[in-house]
Amino acid sequence: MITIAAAADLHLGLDSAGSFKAVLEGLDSSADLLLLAGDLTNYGDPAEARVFTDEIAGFDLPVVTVLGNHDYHAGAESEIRSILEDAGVTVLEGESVSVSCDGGTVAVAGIKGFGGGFAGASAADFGEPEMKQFVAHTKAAAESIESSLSSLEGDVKVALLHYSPIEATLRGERLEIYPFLGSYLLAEAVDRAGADIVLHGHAHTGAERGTTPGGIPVRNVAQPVLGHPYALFRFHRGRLSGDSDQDTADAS
Amino acid sequence: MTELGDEPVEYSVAHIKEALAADPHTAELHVEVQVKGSSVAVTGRVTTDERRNAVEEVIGRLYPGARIQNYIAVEVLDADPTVEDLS
Ligand SMILES: [Fe+2]
Ligand SMILES: [Fe+2]
Repeated sequence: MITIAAAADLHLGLDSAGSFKAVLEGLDSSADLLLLAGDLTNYGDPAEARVFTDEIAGFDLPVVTVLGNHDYHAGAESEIRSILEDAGVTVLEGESVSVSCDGGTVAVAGIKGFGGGFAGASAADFGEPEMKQFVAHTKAAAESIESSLSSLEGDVKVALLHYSPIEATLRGERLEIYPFLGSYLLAEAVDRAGADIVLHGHAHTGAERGTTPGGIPVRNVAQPVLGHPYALFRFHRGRLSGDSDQDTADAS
Repeated sequence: MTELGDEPVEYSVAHIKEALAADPHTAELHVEVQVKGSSVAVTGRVTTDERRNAVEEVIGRLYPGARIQNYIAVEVLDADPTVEDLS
């Protein structure tokens, strides 16, 4: 069995010290890795990223993250990335990583993604250069996640995004802002390349569960949506260690 | 300085939302704002007490005479995670 812990939208501020550390206690014995779907900081201040790295100091599991729009806000995303990497966190923006766990390999392709909206109500690559630029950013993210997922191998393949690939996990947000919360292009890319699960955040008042049109489970792991510091996803497959795991795998 | 009531309500709401997003002490995009007369009601959830208080300060700086009703909740996360089994 492989257990993935996932969360997003921590929005840590300078006054947040201690809040995430407290809930991570014991997680190293119940999960194999921690995936974060962006917005670790609130203002995108490097000092907030240091609050995060202090929170995970001494934490034993591999931590993989993408950045969110809040992590970009102050224009210090490169510095934030370095601070995270210096603390041993893997930051994905178009890259992928394979994590070898006791139960098998988890392969993660990650990128922030962007908005644009959903089928029938989406931004078109048309008109002013500013509009084309907006759409181009989303298209580039979709192409990137598709190509990195396509070349990934692992017992569990994860697409890690900040923006949503589908509408279902936005339910609860105001309809008018859906185009700022995600894009169908991300779903189309993931469906083409294949994955076992898509994790995202960003939609704080959205819903937890949905599926891409191609049938891949999508989970919004924003903390305000979960009502918990993180969610656990257990995959009963891969290299097996225990007898009970073996039974589950044989049946599937 | 513009006060609430000196301009159409929708502009006041927009100015407040913009200020809450731009101010480093709030950087909040997830607060809902309603304006009626000289009152502002804010709702939503933030992650810290300091940020909840900062919302009032930001609105107070923008509209010094505003009566602020702060209905923002500070996020309390249940320690037990949700567990989902996927095949
Ligand atoms: Fe967020
Ligand atoms: Fe976000």
